[in-house]
Amino acid sequence: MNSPVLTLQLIFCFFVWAIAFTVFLKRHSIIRLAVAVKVRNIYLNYIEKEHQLKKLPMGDEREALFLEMKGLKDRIAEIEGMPTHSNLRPFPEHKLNTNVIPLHFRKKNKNAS
Amino acid sequence: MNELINGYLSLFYVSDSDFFLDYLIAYSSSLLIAFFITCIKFALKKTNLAHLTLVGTITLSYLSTDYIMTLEYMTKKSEWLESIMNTYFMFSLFDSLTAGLLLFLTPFLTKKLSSAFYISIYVLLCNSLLHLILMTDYIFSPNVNKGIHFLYSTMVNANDLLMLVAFIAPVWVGYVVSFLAGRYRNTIARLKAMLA
Repeated sequence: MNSPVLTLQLIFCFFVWAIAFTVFLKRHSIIRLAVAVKVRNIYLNYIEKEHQLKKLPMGDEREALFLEMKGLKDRIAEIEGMPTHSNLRPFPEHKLNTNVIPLHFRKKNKNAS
Repeated sequence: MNELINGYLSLFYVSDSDFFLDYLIAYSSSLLIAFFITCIKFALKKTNLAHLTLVGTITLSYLSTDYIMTLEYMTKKSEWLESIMNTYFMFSLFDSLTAGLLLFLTPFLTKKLSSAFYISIYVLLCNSLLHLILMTDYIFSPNVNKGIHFLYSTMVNANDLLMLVAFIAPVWVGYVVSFLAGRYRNTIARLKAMLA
């Protein structure tokens, strides 16, 4: 059942499949692009709100706007995978000293033997 | 073995039993039920929007192609093979386009891609390639190759069932995938290095 139309259809479908497969291989680039687009939109919103904040007098309205800006910052941190309070120092690692055997453990083993 | 293959393939060829039609309708109904279950889960906040979009898009894609397939089967029973060629090309095209659409759409909805998403993309791309392999065999080889038919049929059915399970129980499938990924870590690393 060999016909030129069917062969062309086959080549076209294979071409589309190859494009889909390439997109799958390059999925990390798409994820990075999606993150960049989302962060950019939120930042634009943030800058707009900052301009509004500078014009407002001290009061409830200004405070509400400030909280909204803080929420936007948190959203950016969530998208980018950063901790919310990035200026805090991380906790020091609790290192176990493996060279020293606790005394009660030693005694217990001695009794057992 | 030959009898087994012939018996299995006779279920999916046009015959008086109409098993193939029943199978298509049962699978489409199962997909629709999976979609409704996902909707209920989303309403109860048990799953995210990305999974709902994934299940919705694939259900829509499968239902449309299954409808055309059933129509072809019902109306052109005598010229099944001639009419099904274009339909199969369309299936391949639909699967590839759905995979591409999901790959572009899902990263904008979620940060971390789930196992159900990867399984769906694998199933769509694999099925699309299998349709093309079957069509290549139909176009270029003069005789019917039952081995390729058997491979195509079993793999497509297994893939479809795998996708259905991934839609209904995404968390459990995620556990299984992470367990297997941990077990075959070296093989996966080698494959990644090959593809990079």
